[in-house]
Amino acid sequence: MTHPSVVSVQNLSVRLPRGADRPFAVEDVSLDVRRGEILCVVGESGSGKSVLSAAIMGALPRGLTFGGGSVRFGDRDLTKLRARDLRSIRGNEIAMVFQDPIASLNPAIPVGRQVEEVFEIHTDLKPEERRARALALLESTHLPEPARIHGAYPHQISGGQCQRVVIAMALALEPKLLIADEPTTALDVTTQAQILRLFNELRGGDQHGILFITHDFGVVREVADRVAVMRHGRLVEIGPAADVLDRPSHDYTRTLIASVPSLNPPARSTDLSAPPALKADDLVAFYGPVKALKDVSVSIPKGATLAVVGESGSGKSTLARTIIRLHEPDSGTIAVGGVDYTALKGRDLQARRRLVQMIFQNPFGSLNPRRTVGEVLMRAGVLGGADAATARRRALELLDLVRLPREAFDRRPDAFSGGQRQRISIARALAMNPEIVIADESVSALDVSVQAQVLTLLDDLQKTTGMTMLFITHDLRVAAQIADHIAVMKRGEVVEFGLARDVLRRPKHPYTRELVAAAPGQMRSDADAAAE
Amino acid sequence: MLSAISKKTAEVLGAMLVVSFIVFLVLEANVEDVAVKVLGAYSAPDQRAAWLAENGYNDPFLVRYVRWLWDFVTLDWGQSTLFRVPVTDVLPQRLAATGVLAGATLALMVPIALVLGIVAGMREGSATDRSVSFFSVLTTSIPEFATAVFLSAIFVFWLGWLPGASTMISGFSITELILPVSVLTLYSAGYLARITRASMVEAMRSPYVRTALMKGASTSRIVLHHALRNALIAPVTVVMLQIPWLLSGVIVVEVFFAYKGFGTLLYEAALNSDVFLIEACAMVSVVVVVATQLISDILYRLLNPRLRVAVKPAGATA
Repeated sequence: MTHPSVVSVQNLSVRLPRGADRPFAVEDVSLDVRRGEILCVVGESGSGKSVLSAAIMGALPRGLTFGGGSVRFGDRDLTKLRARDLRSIRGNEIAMVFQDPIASLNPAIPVGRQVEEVFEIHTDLKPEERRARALALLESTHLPEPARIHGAYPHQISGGQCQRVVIAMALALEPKLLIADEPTTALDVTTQAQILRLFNELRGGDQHGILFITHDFGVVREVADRVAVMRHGRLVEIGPAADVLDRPSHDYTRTLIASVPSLNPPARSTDLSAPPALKADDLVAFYGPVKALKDVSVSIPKGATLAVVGESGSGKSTLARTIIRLHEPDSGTIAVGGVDYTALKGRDLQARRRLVQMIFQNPFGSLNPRRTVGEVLMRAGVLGGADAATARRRALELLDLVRLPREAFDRRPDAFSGGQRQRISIARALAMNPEIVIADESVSALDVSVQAQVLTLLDDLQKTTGMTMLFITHDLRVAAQIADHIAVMKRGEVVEFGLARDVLRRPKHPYTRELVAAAPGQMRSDADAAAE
Repeated sequence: MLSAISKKTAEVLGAMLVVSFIVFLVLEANVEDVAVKVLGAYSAPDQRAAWLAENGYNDPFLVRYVRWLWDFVTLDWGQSTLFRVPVTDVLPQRLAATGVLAGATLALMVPIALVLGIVAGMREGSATDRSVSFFSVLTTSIPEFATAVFLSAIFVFWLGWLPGASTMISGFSITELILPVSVLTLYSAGYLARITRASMVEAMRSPYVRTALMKGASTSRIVLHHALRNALIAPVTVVMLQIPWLLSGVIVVEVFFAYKGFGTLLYEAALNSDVFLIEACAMVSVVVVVATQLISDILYRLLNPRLRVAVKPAGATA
């Protein structure tokens, strides 16, 4: 690396407010970003990676204070600059790209004007020049019809297009340092692949140093020149991407990398000849005027797992909601254990519903914060037909089963982390002795190490209880780890259905091929092979 | 947008029809009662019967309703039994008087409340924020008759600076307007300030404000350019809801200061069972309410570009 560093973080500490679980959000971190490279900072939630990026921008969240060290940018220390001087640097010499592109743009201002605003703030360009420069920037980020996009409001363009606008805005004044905080996390996987390509292109220009914050090792593999791993506010290790990813020197890094699900499905021993526990035929469902499901047929043998994979808007969640009749199908049939589920009404439906249980995506929103874990589990057990004493015994057994301590029984959900809450949600679903469990993006909100544990848990539970599982996910890698069958959905249709290993290794439909190729973190050769 | 407005207008007309029917039902379903109210309690039964026959009250109810509605639309609002003149001679000038009062109140209250709300919401939890919140709760929780007594005690009886009644007998007078406007402003500004503060706080916490901050935008640019535009949506709706309140809800203040406005008119009409005047007042109130609703809907759309295009259905993943 011959390029000089654009920013140099030296022994930086950021103090958390009193009463937090640890004294420092960021503790004694030193790193620098060089021109023409992408430095990835990886870590799980709470690792301090986002606070680090805020500290470099001189914009600590309220309550946090600098606790020592410096951020050298040229001849200035960003931790000591006055607000005025910081403003003249932000958007000009250092620019930032955020996680949620649609929310990051002002909903009431056309996006082109928002790009022009950077020139308005930092330069004396005339309005026509500003417009011309903005159009050129939109074009350089490969937005189609820059003139149309220029006048569009954020809600009128897609998430990926919004992120390109945000990137165009960040690049407006050729910043020396570009900080990207989880810039692809909120995007679909094919869109993510495109945005990552754009970042690789930016690095190629040798103009910027890029600090790229992410939790996803797959993404790291796609873009990083060097990698810094953070945990509990400290830097665990830092080095060239090849070293850290393939020869990690630290145990924590090794665990993290091992937890990243791979696209290679493990061998599974499920008996796929069993009669179907769930069979849906020609389901049609509307969401307002939109046909969200177009003649969808799926069937899952008893005790097996079907993963339904698709991007946002593909209808995968509607499928789950329709199967448990939270959403009424317009036509088609659903058979649960041979009984026509669509024809059930009132009390019969209530009784049969118990047999199909759902685990939701957000473990924070789906548990009643006012009830103890024991109450939640017992209530589910009683609804499932058990008497109070049995339900209580069963609740304690379930805690063992999902590997939570029995003390959890008397505590409320807020005492638990995201992963533990998801275990509670799983225990609640199982408390009703369901035949079918539907998991709707149930591991998407979890850190990768926790995600791996929950996937293993679900797999083990399936072996011990013989439950049938419908697993909804946007992540092909997660599907690969848990599914016997995979159904790929696009715009309300199942475009491909088959055994997991067939779908992943020999995808037939072009869209499946695209998804497989876009899954981040494959070795280059694999990705190229899949693309061909 | 145009089709949305015409749809809204149709809704508004429908609502007005329903309310007009209810007004008519309540006040004119019992024809005997109407005759008593118009001719007085001491009129003879044959006198009443003659009056009813003469004025078409023996026709079926629906026919009378349609005729009444048509009369209303063509501004034939009948005679006021209290003032012994056509309703159209009294009502417009009273409405205008209240319009002056309401306009002055809005002109004072809206800027004060918006500025207070914005300043408070800009820095959530600051000393300014807390004092504005305290002021808002204090003023909104004191009813207007109490404020009226309190302010009169100070400015009329103690300092003697202002007149205690706002009869405007000797023509329009600014000094007579000061007290009623102050009372109304104090009462309503706190609520609007709190609403503005809440939506300002929300806007200041939003990712797009962070984006603006990271672009190097100054505080004034962030507030005026980015936050305010989005934060004004809720307060505008509230202001539009306050206009109908100013029209009829100010009865207490108008009566207190003997101000000859729409509120006192409604009050006098109700006290004296002046049927046709009550009907006209009710219908005018309805028109004002639905008109402000319509305007507020249009403003809402103008401020919120997401509503300007036809609303897209929610995606499959909620």
